[in-house]
Amino acid sequence: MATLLKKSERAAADERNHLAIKVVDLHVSYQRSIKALQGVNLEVPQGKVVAILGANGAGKTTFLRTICGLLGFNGGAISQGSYHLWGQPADKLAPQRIVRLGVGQVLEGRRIFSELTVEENLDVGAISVRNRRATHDLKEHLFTQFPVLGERRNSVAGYLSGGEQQMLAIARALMSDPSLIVLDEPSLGLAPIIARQIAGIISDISTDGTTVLLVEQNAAMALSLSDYAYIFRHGKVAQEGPSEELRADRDILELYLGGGTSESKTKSERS
Amino acid sequence: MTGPSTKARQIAVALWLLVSLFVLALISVLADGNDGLEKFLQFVVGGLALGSIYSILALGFVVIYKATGVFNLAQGSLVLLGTYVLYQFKEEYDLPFGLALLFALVLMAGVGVLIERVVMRKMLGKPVFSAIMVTLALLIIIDQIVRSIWSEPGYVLNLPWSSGKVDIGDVTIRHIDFWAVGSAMVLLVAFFLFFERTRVGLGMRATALDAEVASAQGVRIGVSYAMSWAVAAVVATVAGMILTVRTGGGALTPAVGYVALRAFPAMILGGLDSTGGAVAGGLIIGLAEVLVDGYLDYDWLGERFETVVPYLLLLPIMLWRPHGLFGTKTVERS
Repeated sequence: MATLLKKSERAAADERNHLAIKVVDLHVSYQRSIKALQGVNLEVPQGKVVAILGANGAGKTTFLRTICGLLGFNGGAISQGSYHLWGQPADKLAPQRIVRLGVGQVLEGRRIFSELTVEENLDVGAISVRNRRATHDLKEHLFTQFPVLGERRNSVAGYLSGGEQQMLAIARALMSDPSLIVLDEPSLGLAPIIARQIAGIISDISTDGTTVLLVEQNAAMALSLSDYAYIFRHGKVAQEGPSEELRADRDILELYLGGGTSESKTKSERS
Repeated sequence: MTGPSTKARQIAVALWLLVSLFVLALISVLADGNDGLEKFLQFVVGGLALGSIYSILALGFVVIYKATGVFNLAQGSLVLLGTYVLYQFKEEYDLPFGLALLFALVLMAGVGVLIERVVMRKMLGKPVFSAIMVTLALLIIIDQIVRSIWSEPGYVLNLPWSSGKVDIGDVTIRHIDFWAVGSAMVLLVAFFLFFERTRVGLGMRATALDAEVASAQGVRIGVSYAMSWAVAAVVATVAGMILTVRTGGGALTPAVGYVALRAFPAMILGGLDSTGGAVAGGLIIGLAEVLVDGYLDYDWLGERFETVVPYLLLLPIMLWRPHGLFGTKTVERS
């Protein structure tokens, strides 16, 4: 996916600011009372895959919504701290401005436009891109990369299977040719074999040079995909470190993440 | 954009309409002989013209519903305001018709954007029911504003084609009827092209389906909302103009706003979120009204029975297809 659109323009800026995301002491609350995030510090270096793990209610989704500028949709707001995207303050940006800066977004629960066709879903993803020629090429490229979507480009997206819908959500996020893609629970509700397929796609996206911020409950999958991971607990970062180290630490998996340990055991035995 | 099953259904509905019309024609010929056919065709012309006006009125509701999910009760007041604004440019400032219409449409688009930005934008994220109540307040406020600004009786809107007519055989077609049908068709095609072929249109559809996700994909949802109100106000002005000239001979009356309410059944019949459905619903209701008015004159039904007909049609169709003839059910893989 690299090479198309804005990549080159942004490369220079990236050199200066090798951090795609930098968040310092971030506090977020809903309706001014419910504190969802309480002082999160987090960095996503350009070109890396960073994972956020944690149990339900730990603040992972709130964090991603903050990154995407979507807090306003359900009464959330940043009450303290700073958030920068490629060195620019981004805490007050509208969602579409964040997309234009180069952030592709895959929200929790896939959230495809089920009444639009597959192709129209992708067109919405590219709505912020001015260069129509490049958009067209990128779309065709994605149709070859995701043949299932190519075959069903004119069918209504609501009729796709769960895995296909997740692919569509990812492809739609890629249509803006992002430098950074954020994914919220991409494996949620998918059969293990499909989840592995999605993991492969995410790994390919990263190989193509796109930075990835991944929120996952499936700790084994997230740690195997990522370079660095943060573990959220009660709205704070409880632990962080290179994914390799966290993966080796069985206590962490059991303490913070529950489940997933048997799979991670077999993984660490294999590796 | 619709799946194959929706297409098939639309064709089926269209066929059903044509067959019903044909059967009606046959009955009228059998009943009255050759004169019957001419009488019937005359009614069909009247029905199509009236139906086209309903269609245009319904399109105004549909565009806002499609983009914002709000059923805009103030649409009637936009019809009213648009008509008086056109009158102001045409008769008070004495501009040529084309220029007056252009100015009126541009001004009304601005009014639409203004209402959206100043009032309706604040209602985003609030319960839809509250937003609908706000549009009810707007209806009453705008209505009163119009009555205050244009407070004298006897305003008349004279359009170049107000009173002309053409005879084809024994069937008479008024110029205004051509305008009604023509405007409805042009608007239908324009709506289709706009929603299906342009980015702004696609953005509006995406916004309507899921505003949060749309904005997360880079859609400027504020533009979508403002645009839908602008389009609704423009469409309302066209409807008000044709309505005033066709039913009142150009005499302006504040009641023109309430005629918009008669487009409700048309729009609900066709499906609240379907532009094609709005036009089809309008034509069905218009034809039904005129045909009933023409053929049924039994006293025991009461006077102006035809005004009840839209609702008589609405009932069984709603029971059979709660989303309207062309409305979309939420598409979900089962």
